[in-house]
Amino acid sequence: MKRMVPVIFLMLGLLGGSAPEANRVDATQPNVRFAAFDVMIDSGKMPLAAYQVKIVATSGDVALVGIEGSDQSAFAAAPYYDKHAILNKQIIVAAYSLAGSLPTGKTRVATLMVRLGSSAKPDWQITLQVAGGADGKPINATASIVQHSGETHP
Amino acid sequence: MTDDPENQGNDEFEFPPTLREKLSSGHPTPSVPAEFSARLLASAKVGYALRMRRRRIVRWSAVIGSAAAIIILSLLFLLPNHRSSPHLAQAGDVNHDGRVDILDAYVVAKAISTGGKLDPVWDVNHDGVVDQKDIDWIAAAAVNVTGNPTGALPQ
Repeated sequence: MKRMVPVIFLMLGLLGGSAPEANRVDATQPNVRFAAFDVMIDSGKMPLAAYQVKIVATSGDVALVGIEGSDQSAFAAAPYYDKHAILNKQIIVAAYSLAGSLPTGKTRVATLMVRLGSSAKPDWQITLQVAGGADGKPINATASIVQHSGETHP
Repeated sequence: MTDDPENQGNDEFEFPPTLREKLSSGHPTPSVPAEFSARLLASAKVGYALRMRRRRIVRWSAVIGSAAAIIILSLLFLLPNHRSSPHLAQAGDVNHDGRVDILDAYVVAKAISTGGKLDPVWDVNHDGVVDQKDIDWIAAAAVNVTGNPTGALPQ
């Protein structure tokens, strides 16, 4: 009987591993493709120390599958977002930077990895909830989403 | 009880007609003056109107009271609970702007990184120290969209 215990655990592990997950992305479906969209913040001449944006996919078969930081060193780390909202159509993304040199002007702060379920072009609504300067006070800024093709969704 | 079948059902006693006439003439029906009758009727009408008015007031008071109660209860359920929200907003609302956002996390992060003064109320996870975990807690609350604030905490 003792010999059977590891076998039983192995079988249970295999069964658990093969159980369907609700949030699993089925990339084998036809017409499924993945795309990247950059979140841009334009703070003008003010140094950008923190931002918080709400992003909603208003149309199209779209699901967020991941969020990365930007190549801009101040915001290179992955931003804060609700991981339970992944695969949903809306998410809040936020980050701050303690870097000595903060970016000004139009800055890529994060990249959304998106699964597109059809050929339809996704529409985005992005709302800048707050942007802050080095002193922690709110500053004027604008937010937009740019696909790698260069298309902008304000 | 009688056993005579002929007397059964004749329990009512009737006076002779002559005796009845004599008794009636001795006690004539009193006549009410028309003026008194009219006053009595007017007084009854006034009393009735007063009672109806009071009843109408009570009825409308009940209707208005019920409507007011329904409106107040609806407002209590539909509007945000302002009594409890300040308490919730306090946890993490470092800059006291009435909401928890990334700027609150930034203020704490900058204070820690520069060795600035740390307010004990910034210890939002109540572990006795203001550190990166509190920053993560505040940021997680700021980006929470699913109601589960642990979703944005670092693994």
